[in-house]
Amino acid sequence: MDDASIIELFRKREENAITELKRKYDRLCRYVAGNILGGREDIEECLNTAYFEVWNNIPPEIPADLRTYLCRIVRNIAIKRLQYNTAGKRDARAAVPIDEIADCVPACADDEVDEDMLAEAISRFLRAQDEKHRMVFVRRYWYGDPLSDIAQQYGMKEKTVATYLFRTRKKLKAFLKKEGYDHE
Amino acid sequence: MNELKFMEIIGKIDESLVKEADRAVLRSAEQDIFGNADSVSGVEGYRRSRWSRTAAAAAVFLVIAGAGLGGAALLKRHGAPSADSIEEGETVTVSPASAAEEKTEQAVTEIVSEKKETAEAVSDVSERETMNAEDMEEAASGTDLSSESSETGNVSQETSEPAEEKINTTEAAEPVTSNAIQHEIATKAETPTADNERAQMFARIESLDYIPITCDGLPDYKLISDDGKVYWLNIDGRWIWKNGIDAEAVLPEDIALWLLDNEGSINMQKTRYYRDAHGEQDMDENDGEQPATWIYRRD
Repeated sequence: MDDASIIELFRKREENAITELKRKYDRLCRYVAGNILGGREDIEECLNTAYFEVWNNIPPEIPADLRTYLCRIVRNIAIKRLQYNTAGKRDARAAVPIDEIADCVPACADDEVDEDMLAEAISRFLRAQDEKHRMVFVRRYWYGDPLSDIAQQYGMKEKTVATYLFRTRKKLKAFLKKEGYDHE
Repeated sequence: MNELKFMEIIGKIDESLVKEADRAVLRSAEQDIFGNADSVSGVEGYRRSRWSRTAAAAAVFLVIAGAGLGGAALLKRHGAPSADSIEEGETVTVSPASAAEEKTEQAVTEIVSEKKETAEAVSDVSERETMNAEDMEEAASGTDLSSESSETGNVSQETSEPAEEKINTTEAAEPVTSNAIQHEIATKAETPTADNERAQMFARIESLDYIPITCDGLPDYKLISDDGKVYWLNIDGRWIWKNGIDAEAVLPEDIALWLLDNEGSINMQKTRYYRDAHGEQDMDENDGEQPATWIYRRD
């Protein structure tokens, strides 16, 4: 079933909308959640929460791209779950490369930063990069793909992927510094 | 700001950037699933190479030409034997083009064998004469030395003839070439020997124009040819019967005369009918044989 039909099912509030959504995107969502969360139960809970959120959001929202919309919801839920686990010193096994991104994180406090403006700044930075650097960065820090998968997807060596990411992070740190986001 | 919060903010980047990266991965995944993203469609017609037909024709020609040349070479090497390889006593086997040629070949073979027999006979004669000379020499020893020398001279003279004959015999024993055979045939044709004449006569008797028996006369002679065939003759009536076959032919005069002239040397016997007609006494009871195709009524 295509995305429009699934969205139509959600709009009509038919229960099989969730079934069709899972049938089409369950593997993808499990993959995205698995790149952030380590535990199987966390992944299952993340996916159930994501499908429930989609059911609640549509309508009134009508996503232009259901696939990206769903992945974004799954990713956010997975990160929040990871924050919950880390804060409570629970199962903090995370697949997401948090340590790598630490250099780029601004030193300012969370309440001092407008998240949407920071996200817009990062988007502008990525658009300024060449296509391959941009896509490798998104695959690594948005989807949380392992280096080996990225290397295979783009026909590169893992070492080359790591080098791409390192250079992009340095550029992003410099860019954010120019934008006014101070680093320690 | 901690790292997880920053990761959450990264999750809010422009959707087009995420879709761009996703599309690339989807393309890559499809390539992994289906092997290759390049689509193949349509059917390309099989085009035979242009030179294959020419090459095949050339190959067939070469095979046929090779077989022909090889066959010719084999025939040249192992074909009909050369005339030089024919030796004495060896029968020349040539497929005759006609009955006349076959007979000529038989005659040539007979000539060669006869020549060999002649050479052997001459050799026997020379041996016998040599022995006689030795006996005479022994008998004359101690009586007359002068006569001994003359006798010895005669003996040596006599013994020299067989030596010459031996030379001729040796010559005859040499390999008979086809040229020699042709020469011999020509010589024989010019001066036929008695044996050749006998063979020719029997051949003529054999090949006479026989018809079913019409006359009711009695045969005077029984003739047995060299090859064992039996004929019944009436010289005065000039006819001849072929035994065992209801066949009668006119006996040519020259053959009748030749038979009478050579009655002693050929196997020709008078029949009891001849003896009865001429008042001769029957000396041999077996001569009263009558031809198989004819029933004789004795009155």
